[in-house]
Amino acid sequence: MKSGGITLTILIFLSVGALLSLYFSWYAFAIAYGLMAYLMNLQQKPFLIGFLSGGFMWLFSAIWISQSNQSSLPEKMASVLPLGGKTWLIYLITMVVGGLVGGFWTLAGSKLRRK
Amino acid sequence: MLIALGFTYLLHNSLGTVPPIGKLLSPFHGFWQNAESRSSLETTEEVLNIDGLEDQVQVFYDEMGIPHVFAKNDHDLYMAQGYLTAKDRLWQMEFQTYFAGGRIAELVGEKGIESDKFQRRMGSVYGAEQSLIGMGEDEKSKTALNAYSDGINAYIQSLSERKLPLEYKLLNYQPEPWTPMKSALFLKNMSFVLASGTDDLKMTNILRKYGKEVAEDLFPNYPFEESPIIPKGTAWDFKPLKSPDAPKEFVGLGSAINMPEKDPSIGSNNWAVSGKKSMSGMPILANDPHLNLSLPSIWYQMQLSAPGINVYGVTMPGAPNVIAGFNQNVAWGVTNVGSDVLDWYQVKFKDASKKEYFHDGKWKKTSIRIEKYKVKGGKEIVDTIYFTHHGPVVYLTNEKPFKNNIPVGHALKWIAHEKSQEVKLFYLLNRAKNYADYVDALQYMTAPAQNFVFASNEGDIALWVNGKFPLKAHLQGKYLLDGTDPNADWKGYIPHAHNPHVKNPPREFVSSANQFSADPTYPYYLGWQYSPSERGRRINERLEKMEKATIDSLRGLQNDNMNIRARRLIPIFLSHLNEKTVKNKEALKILKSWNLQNNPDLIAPTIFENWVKTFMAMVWDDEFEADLNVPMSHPTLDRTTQMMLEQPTAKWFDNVKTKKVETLGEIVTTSWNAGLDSLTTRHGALGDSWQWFKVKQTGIRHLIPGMDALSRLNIPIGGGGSIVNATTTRTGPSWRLVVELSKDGKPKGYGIYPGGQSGNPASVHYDDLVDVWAKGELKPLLFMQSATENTSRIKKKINLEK
Repeated sequence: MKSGGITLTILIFLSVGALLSLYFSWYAFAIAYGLMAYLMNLQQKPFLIGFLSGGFMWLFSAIWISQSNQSSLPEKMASVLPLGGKTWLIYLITMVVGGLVGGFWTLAGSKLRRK
Repeated sequence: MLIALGFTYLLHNSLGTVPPIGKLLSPFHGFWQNAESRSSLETTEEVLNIDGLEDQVQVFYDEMGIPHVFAKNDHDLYMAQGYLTAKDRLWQMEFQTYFAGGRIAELVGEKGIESDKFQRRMGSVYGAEQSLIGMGEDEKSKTALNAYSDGINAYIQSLSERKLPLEYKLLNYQPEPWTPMKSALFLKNMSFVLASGTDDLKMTNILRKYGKEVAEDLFPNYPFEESPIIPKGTAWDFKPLKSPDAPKEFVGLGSAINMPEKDPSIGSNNWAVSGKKSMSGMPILANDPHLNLSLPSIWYQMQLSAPGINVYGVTMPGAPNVIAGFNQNVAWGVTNVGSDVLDWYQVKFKDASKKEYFHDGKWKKTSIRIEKYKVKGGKEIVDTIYFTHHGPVVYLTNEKPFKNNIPVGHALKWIAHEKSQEVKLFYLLNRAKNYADYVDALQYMTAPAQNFVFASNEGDIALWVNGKFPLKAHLQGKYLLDGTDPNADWKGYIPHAHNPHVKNPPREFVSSANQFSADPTYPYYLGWQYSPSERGRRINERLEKMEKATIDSLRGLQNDNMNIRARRLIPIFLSHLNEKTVKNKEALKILKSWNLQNNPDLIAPTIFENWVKTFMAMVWDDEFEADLNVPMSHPTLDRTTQMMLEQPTAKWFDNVKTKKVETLGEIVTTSWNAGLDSLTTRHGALGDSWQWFKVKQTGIRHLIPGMDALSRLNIPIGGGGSIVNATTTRTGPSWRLVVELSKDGKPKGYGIYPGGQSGNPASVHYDDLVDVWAKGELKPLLFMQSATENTSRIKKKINLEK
C-alpha cells in the first residue's frame, strides 16, 4: 500500500469510527477497526493506522466540542486528573488513549487474518 | 487480540479510585460531552415531552439560570420541580441521599463503611421511614412527593450515558430511580446537620471528674451576656403544663473511649423590621442561614407558580416546595434552634444476648433491626442494631464509636426518629397569605426545629421558635441519663401553641441568630446551651437604632463585620497584659488602633482571633483536655469573660500542669506571646500574609472531598464565627435574602447564594454567583406575576408537555 493508501484508510477508519461512536458504546469504534482490519486484510502498519485514526478522531472531536462551547471543562479536568492543570496534556492523553485503543484493535484484526 | 480486549476492559472500568479512563476520556461519551455552551444572547425556546404530566408547564430561565415555573395544577408543579432540579443537580441529589442513607460504601468501597454504619445506627433510615409514614398521611404531601419523584425519574430516563453528570463518570456509576423515601432521607439528614449536636457524654465526664457544683458553675444554663430571641418581658400567652417529675440524680459511667460535637459555626441570622422602622412603611425581612459552603450549593433557587400558589425562594435539591422565601403576601426565613432534642440513656442489658434490658423495675424486650450494607466490589455486610423503647443503642460497649462524643452502651432518644410532616408545613407555608396561615403551617414542623421569622403585607412581623420539643424536667438530658429510670424518659411534648413566639413586639422588629430562644421566665426547659450570643446581640443593637430601614440597610447589616467579642475583650485583656514583657509591640499597636471590624484585608482580626483562641486553650486545656480518652466540653468564652470580670483570681486560671501558680495576668501575657509565635510559624513575619482572609481561608468545596479543581478556595471575604457576617473556613451564609413586602402583591426580593444554579462544573452557572456573594452584594430577584409577563431577563423558555 502506498502512503496515499494509508491516508485514505485512515480517513475511512476515522469517519466510520466517528459515526459509530455517535450511536454506540465508547469502544465500538475500536471493535469496528478490528473488524475492518480483518475484512480488508490490512497488513501494512495496522497499529499505526489504528493509532492515528483513533487518536485523531478523539483529538479532533475533543477540540471541536471544546471550541464550539468555549468550555472551561478541559482546564478543570486537567486538575481533577493528576495532570498538574496542564490543559494541553488532557488533549494529548485523550489522543493517546483513543490511539492506543484503536491501534490495538486494528492490530488484533490484522493478526487474526494473517494466521 | 487479548491485549486489545484486556486494554479496553481496563479502560472501561475504574481501578480503585482511578476513574475509567477510556470511558471518561472519550469525546463521544466521557467528560468532553459535559461541555455546555455559554448562554446565547437571544432567548431560546424548546419543547420537552414528559410522560405523566397532566397539562402543559411553562418554564422561564432568567439570566442566572433560575427557573420560573408556571403549571396548571399541583401535580404538574411538583413534577416539574423534580424534573428541573434533577436537570441541574441530579448527581448532588442522589449523592446526598446515599450519604444520608448510609450507602457511601457502595460508591467508594470499604472506607465508607464506618460513616455508613454511624448514619444508620443513629437511626437515619429508621427515622426517614417514620417521616415517610407521617408524610403519607397527608394527601397533598403525598401528591407532592410522588410527583416530585416522578419528575426526577422522567429526567433520569431521558439521560443517555454520554449526558450523565460528570461526577457519575468520575466515580463510574449510574443514577438509580428516585423514590419518596429518598426525599425523606434527605429531609432527615437536615436533622443530622442541624440537630444532632450532643455533649451529654462530655458533660457527664466533667460531672464524674469535678462534681455537680463545678459542672453547673462552669457550664451555666443561661449566659452571662445574652439578648434572647423572644424579647425580655414578652408575656406568655398560654397556661403552661406542669413540668414533669425530675429523674433521680444520676452519674453515668461516661465513657473511657474517645464523637459530632455541635459545630458552633453552623448558625444563621434572620430578622424582620415592621413598617414603623422602614422607609417605605412596609415590613422588610432578611435571612441568611449559615451552613457548610459547598459546590453544588445546598440551595437551588426557583419560582413555583400554579393556581393557589406563586412563591419564590430557595429549594433544597431532594425535597418539594420552597424552603425559605416569599410569595405575593408573606415572606419567611429560618435559623436553627439549638434546643436539646437528643438524649442518651445508659442501658442495662440482662446478658450478652442483649434480648432484654432493665427499665422501671422490669426486664423488657429489646427489638432488633438488621441493616445490610453493599460494599463496592460485591461484598455485603450485615449489622444488627438493638433498640430499647428509647431508641437505637448506637454503639455497644465493646465498639469504637465513629465520633468521640457518642457514648457507648447508650440508647439514643432523638426527635429525628419521630414521624413528621415537613412537606405539609412547606406546602402550606408556600401558600400562606397572612399570619394565621403561617401559624397554622408551623404546627407541622418536627425537626430540625427552626426559628421561623415572618413578615406579611398586612403589616405583621413575627417569630416562632418552631419544632417539636420534648416536655422535660429542668436540665433533663444535660448529662447522660439512666435508662432504667422511668422518670428519665421523655414525657410527651410541649404543645405547639406554647412554643416561644412573638408577634409585632413594641421594639418593632424580631430577630434570631441561634441564641437562647427566651429568657429564664419561659416556663419550659428547652436546653441549657445555645450558640454564643454575639451575633444576636449585635443584630439587636443595630436594629434597635435603625430608622427608615431599606433593603440596602438590611443588606448592610447582613454584611456587618463588627467584632463585638473584641469590643468586650480587648479592654479586659489589655488591663491584664503586662506590656513590658510582650513580644511584637508592632502587633500590639495594630490591635490597639483596630476599628474592630473583621474586614478581609486587616491584620488585627487575625491577631485578636488567634489571641482569644490561645488564651482559651491556656485557661482550660490543662483541666479539660487532660485525657483524650475522656473527652470533655470546655467552658464557653461567655463564662470565661464573666470569670475575668467577677472572679479574676479563680483557681481555673492556674495551669495545673506547672508547679507555679499562674495568675490571670500571666495567662493573658503568655497567650499573647504564644499566639504571635504560632502565627509567625504558620504565616511568616507580621505582614500581608497575616491578612484576615488569608488566614481564615474561606473555601466553597465540591461535595467530593479533595476536588479542589471543582471548588472555589481562598475567597476574599471578611467576617467570622461570632460575627453577623458569619463566614468561616468552611461555613457561612449559604443564602442571603432581603425582601420588602408590598400591598400590591409585588414584593421586592434581593438574594444571593455562594454557588450557582447548575451542578455541572462546565456550566457558566456552576459558580457564577460566588464573586457577587463574596462582595456582599445581592441580586435583584425576578418575581414574575404571570407566565405572560414581559421581561427582558428571560434567556430561555422550555415548555414541558405530556
